[in-house]
Amino acid sequence: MNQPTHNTFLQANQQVNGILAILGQHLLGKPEVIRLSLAGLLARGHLLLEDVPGVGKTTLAHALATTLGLHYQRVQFTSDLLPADLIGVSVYLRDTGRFEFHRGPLFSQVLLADEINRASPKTQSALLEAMAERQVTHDGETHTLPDPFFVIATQNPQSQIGTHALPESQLDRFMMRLSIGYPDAQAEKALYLGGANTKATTAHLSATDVFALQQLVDDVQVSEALAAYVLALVAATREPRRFLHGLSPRGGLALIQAGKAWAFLEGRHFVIPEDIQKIFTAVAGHRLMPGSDLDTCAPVMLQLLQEVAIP
Amino acid sequence: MRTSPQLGKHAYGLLGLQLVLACLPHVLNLPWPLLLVAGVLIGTGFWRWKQAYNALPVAQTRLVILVVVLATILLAWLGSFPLEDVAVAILIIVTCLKWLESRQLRDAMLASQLNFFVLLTQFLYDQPFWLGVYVTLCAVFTLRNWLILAHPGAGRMLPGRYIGRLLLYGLPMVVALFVLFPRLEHPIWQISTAAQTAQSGVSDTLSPGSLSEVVQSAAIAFRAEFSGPRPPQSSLYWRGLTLWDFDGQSWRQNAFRRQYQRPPIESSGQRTDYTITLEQGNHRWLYLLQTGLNVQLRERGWFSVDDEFLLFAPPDGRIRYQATSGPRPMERLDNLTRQLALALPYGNPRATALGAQWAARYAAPEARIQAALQMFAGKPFAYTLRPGKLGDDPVDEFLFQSQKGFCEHYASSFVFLMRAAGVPARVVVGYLGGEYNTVGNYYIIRQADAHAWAEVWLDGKGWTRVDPTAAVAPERVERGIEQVLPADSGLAIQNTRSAGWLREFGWIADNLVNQWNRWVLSYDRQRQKQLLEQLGLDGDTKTMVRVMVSVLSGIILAGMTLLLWPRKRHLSPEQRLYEQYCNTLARKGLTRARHEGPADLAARAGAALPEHQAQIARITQLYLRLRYQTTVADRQADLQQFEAAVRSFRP
Repeated sequence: MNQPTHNTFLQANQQVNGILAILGQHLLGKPEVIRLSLAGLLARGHLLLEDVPGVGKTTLAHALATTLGLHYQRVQFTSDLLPADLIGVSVYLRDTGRFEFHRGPLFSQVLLADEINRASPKTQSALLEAMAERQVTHDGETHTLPDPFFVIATQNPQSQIGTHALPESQLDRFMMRLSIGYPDAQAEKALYLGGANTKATTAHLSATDVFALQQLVDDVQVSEALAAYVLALVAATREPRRFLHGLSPRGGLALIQAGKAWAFLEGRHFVIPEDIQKIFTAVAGHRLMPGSDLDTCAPVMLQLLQEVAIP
Repeated sequence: MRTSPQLGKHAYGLLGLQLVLACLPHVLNLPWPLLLVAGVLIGTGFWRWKQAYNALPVAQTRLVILVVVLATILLAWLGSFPLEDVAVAILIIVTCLKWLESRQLRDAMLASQLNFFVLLTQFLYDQPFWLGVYVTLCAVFTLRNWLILAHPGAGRMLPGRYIGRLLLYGLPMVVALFVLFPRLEHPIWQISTAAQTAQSGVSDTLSPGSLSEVVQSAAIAFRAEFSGPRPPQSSLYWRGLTLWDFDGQSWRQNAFRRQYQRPPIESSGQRTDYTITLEQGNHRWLYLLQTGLNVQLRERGWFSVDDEFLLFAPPDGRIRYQATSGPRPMERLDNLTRQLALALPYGNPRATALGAQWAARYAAPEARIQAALQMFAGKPFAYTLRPGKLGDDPVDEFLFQSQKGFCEHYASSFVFLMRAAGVPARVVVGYLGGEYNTVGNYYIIRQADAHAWAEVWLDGKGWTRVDPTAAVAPERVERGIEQVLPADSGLAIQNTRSAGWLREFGWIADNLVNQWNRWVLSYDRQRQKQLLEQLGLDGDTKTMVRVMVSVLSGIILAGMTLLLWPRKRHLSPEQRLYEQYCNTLARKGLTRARHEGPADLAARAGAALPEHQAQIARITQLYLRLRYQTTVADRQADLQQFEAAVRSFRP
């Protein structure tokens, strides 16, 4: 195994902790969400932020992109947004007499897809296809997307009029679904007193650094005991009457991958059950449908975490 | 409501097969019209199966069902069948109908359940060993089909181990119910076929040809087990009855003598102890060796003055008794008995004359006996199963004309001659010899071993056994009947006692049957009571029900505990040590929840026991490393440190 030296690991950890501190200045009182979102990105996953307007979804996405030093584009999804508006168009050049592909906003390192559920299913699937394959095929030509490539999508769960809910298969493309929630009183008071850093931050890392960090996350160790625990969790989701469908193996893999990133953020080079418990709701929440009449499966998931013994 | 899945053609066929198998032994029990009704229904079912079974219009089936049900009602009304037969037939018909209308899995499951009840009805008629085996196999087959229905996903490939395990789970319940379920003194529903179909056996009347009929059968008369060394075959004269009264044709018991009970006797000679399991008990006497001294059995009976053991009533079925035999002490012959033992009817003048001639010539009774035996040995007497018919003076005809006879002829004419010669004599019927089962160490005595012999009174010796057959065919006594008669006599016994491995196999099988009879069938209310009393409990029904309920609840509880008991998995050393640490914490009120990770627990414990924070952190760090890190430089060293840390952790 490509064992990173202890020093590299420590260094990287300090780096990451620095990033977390800076992000914390932008989004006050939400260290858990920040940590989860960073873990998601380090695990090469896409994020879905689901919350009411004004709690800082865009702030978080923006801060994440800029701090990591990644090229960032924001697209406001509307019902008339076409796939071409994302991917790009072929333009006829009169002087050469040929078509030339003009890249759309998709060709960025971080794509902030605002209100993704407002777009038509056609546009949604174009985006989600790109997310899964990290490449775009246009007019028979394949264009590779930049690496790293992240999509941070936001959606508003409240107003469902005129929206197209993402189907389960496409929700599955997102590694995590996070909701930010209202800040606590203390953080909100600090925010009103101007405690938040509203200035555009500078880049603290580069794409190469992010790439290196992702490598380190990949090298985090997963023992058999931990795999057994994840297996038990996944098996529990598949028990009848708990959820409509259980987690897929892809969901299980996402748990492991996100767990690795969380362990890395915790400064460990092996995953422990607590890591999986921390990321479980974020990773599994949007992949599970409540089996009963409940609107959300959050309580069922918490109960499940309490019931599954650590082997 | 969800609809149950449809029943496949294969499963439908299996249901029919299990039904046919469950009904098959009833061919022996039920009257044919009822069998015919069941047969028509089963035939319809299979016809439906053979046609594309789902496509068939139900109307036709309904018509058949209607006709059959009407026919049954008519039959039950017209024919005077026993009520129990009709009840069994109705159960079979109901099961058939359920099978016929089965289209969904849940119908089929109900049909399968009914099949168990059909299987149960077999035991209402008889409970032989082979039926027990057969019904068990059928029940396993039905259970298998039922499980296949219950697990549609498993298809036809249901593991045998699963079925075996289920059966194993049921076994303690079966044993407990068998041993403890209160048995009735008298069955509510008694289908006593044994009394009706009286099997041929030794009867209390001996006439020419009566025994040669009995020996045709290879059926088992009784089994005898000796507690000491087994006596030789030739000395095994199983005494049944003594016959005194001769009317010129038949010998009968003396109604007068059999009423009298013998005073208890003290024997000084060598005793023989043995246990006998008597099969068909439709007669009122037991079989004993020599002179029966003592008999222990449940039924009530008495020793007659002729040393027969007589029962008050013919027993319901098989009976089992322990007996002690020995020589009889000396006694005197009173005048009345002497007259009875010398009485002769009118007829048979030549034999009477011959007897008188011997009486004149020989003074000693022993010499007269010898004369008779010599006559049998010297003249061309034949020992045969087909002696031919004898007329009005059977003794004369046999002795001086046909000279062909079976043991009853020899015994009868010998006793007749002795009485004519003035020697008190009587006929004894019973069995001679038997086959020794070396597997189970007991004698099997079959109907073919039926025998008749004589007893004569000798002053100074008392009643003495004389077997005139031995003078004609000594091998009969030494080696058994199958050795004496030619191979083509058509005796069933000659097949049963064929030599070789078949015989060995027969012994093993018979031993199984014997054990079944002994331990399963003869386990009745009396034995139950004894069992409870041996355990120091009251033998009444109330106690029995209480014991049964407690034992059953115990079994259920034990089963549930076993099933729900957290499996002690194979734990690695670090897991075991960690468990130890968790137990230590639990004693401090810090119980680890099953979902609580080591780090979370450490945070909680550290907060609760601040003075041990460092130790807890160390233990947790080592444990996490050992359990969740895949590359550990020196695992052994870590483990030792971990062990030391856990052992020294004493908050």
